[in-house]
Amino acid sequence: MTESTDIELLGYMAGESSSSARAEMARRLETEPGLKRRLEELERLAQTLRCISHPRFALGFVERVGARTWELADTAQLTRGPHFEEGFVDRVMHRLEPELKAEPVPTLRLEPDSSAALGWAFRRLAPLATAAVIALAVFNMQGAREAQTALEAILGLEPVTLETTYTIPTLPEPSGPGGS
Amino acid sequence: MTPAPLDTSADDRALVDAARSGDSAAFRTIVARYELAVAAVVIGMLGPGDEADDVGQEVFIRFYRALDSYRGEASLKTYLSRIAMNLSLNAIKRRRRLRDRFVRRNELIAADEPATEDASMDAETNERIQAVRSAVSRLGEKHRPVVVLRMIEGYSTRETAEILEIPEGTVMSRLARGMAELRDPLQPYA
Repeated sequence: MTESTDIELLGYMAGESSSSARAEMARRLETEPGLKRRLEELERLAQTLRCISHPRFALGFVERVGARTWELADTAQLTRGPHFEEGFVDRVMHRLEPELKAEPVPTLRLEPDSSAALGWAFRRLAPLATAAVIALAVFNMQGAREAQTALEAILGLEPVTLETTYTIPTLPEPSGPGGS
Repeated sequence: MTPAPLDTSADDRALVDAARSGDSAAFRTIVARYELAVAAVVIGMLGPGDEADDVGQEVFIRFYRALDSYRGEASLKTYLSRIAMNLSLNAIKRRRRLRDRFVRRNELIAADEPATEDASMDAETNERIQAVRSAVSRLGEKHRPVVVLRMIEGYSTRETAEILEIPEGTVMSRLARGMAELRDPLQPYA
């Protein structure tokens, strides 16, 4: 017997096949002894398997689960931390009721908070500061010397070489009445 | 006794809502109502014993912790059966890892097969039950859940598909293969 035949027979046994498939199977069972033997074999096997059906846990299962879950519930209660009695929100809302029903009070225009104020100032000052930096850089570039790198020129730095590093700057000669 | 139908009742929703708000009696009712459904999956998959009992408890503990995330899209029975199946499959994987590490193969097979005998039954019935449990415990992870739900516990193909979150066609093909695997070992008892 093929697997597909077994599938058909198992569906037939459970009464899950359509009425037309059922009628067709009944007709085949009458004419095919091999098919009938296979059905009987499957039915006997199913009957044997059912000897272990509907097992039960040992007595007191509900209590054992209960003991473990109530333990959990107690832990949850303990770890919940301090809390008001049930209905706290309702009590607050009840006390607020007269105020909520009253005419709305005109509100004052509040100053923006400090971070908003800083943001506002930055947005206005940033373009000016950028323009000043560019103007300085252009000014420095105009007076650049050949020995300077681009970065030194932009930042207006003196060129640094080995020679300038080790050269002691010459001091001006003292001039006075005794001088020659 | 057949499993209760998988319909989502308004009563279940009310119980879940009450349990969410801390009503322990409501949660106790849920446990009592679905104990058998969870036992069917867990004991069907693992066999009877302390491990199955522990996994069964864990199913309800997980559900309790996740009460807020249960939105009622699946019926409570389907939802709990799904948790039970996932935890049972995890337990089987744990067993297998343990077996692979510490137990020799012949000892391992014995460890995977529940050997609890019921003193109230005759020897022949006990032998049949042990043989069925042994054969079912040897089925692969894909075939075992389908055989347990669809063939042993009598869930419909649609319900089995819903619990396992697979198409109905897949349920039937896995069932056919599982039954084919069980044919030889259970031949003397059928």
